[in-house]
Amino acid sequence: MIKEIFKTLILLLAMYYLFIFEASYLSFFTSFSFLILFVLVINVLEEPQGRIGLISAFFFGLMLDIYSAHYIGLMALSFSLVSLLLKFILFKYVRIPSLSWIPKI
Amino acid sequence: MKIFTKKRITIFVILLVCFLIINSFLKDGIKNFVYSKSESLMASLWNKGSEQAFSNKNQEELNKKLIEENQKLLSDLADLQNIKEENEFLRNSLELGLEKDFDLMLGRVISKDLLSDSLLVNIGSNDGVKKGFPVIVSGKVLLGKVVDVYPSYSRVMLITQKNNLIDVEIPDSEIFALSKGEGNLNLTLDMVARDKELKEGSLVVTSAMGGNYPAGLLMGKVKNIKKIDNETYQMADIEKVFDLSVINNVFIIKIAEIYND
Repeated sequence: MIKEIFKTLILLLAMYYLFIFEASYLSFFTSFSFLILFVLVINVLEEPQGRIGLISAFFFGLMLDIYSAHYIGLMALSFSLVSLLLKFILFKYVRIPSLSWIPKI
Repeated sequence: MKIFTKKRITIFVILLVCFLIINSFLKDGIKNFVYSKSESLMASLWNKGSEQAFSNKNQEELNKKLIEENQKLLSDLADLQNIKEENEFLRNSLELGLEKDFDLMLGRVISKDLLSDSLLVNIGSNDGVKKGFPVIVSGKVLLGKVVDVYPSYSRVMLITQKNNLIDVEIPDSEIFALSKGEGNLNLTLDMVARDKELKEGSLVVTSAMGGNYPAGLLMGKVKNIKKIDNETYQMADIEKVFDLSVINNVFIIKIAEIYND
């Protein structure tokens, strides 16, 4: 349990610095967000009962809310919902046996 | 296996209520706190990005100065075109009026919003910034306006923000129109009467008609004029004159009255 919390905190810290890097340095070169791709990849590859994808989606949404003119929580809850829906769709309707070799996140 | 469990739905509802409370009472304080913790890192990354973007374009410090000088010259040109049409007395009184109405506050850019065309600047309500204040860069080039104010920071919506409408004027042809933000740092000119003759390269400046911005702030140059037969108005693109990669500091105009916020 402690190990899981520690891993999550490390992930969130890394996401925080990556977000800051994207919002300041990378904004000169590209409008593409690598962080959103990162969150998407976690959510797609993670097992349906996993929580890391959901937490990372919530945190990324929260960062977007704070560093924009949005209401706090708008994107955080939207991204969490999308993450849950994605898991639901992947679990219910998608089978990709060839992905079984990918290690668990 | 259930994805939407009771526990998850409960957490979602609790978070929703928490966010509603936060947005009602603590929003500005929280944003200001987070910005203050990341300001130095973001500002230094912004400067580094700006330098890197500039060197990538094979331009050096001299070019940076030339761009700023060019912006200033373009704005002077716009002023001169206005001057042609006005007599000495009216011109003097307009300038006096502007001087009397606003003064400038210097702010440093910290970051750009990932989702929209807006910038975060390091001065806020403690420094006298209010919602609706216009923001310019050197050479009287309009950048946007303040849309959110926190105690030590403010958010500036760029003129290119999607669906942002500004009353503009083309001084050399006496055309009044609207500039429309298209997002991704693009800007178009809309609502130009068909019978008016638009010229490529004409300067576009703000008009006092909208009441949001002082008149005569430079916005860009007309390009790609589109005159479609069955359309009532003609359209064009506006080539913006500011370059984000050279903008580290901005000026916020302290205006006495904000008419249409």
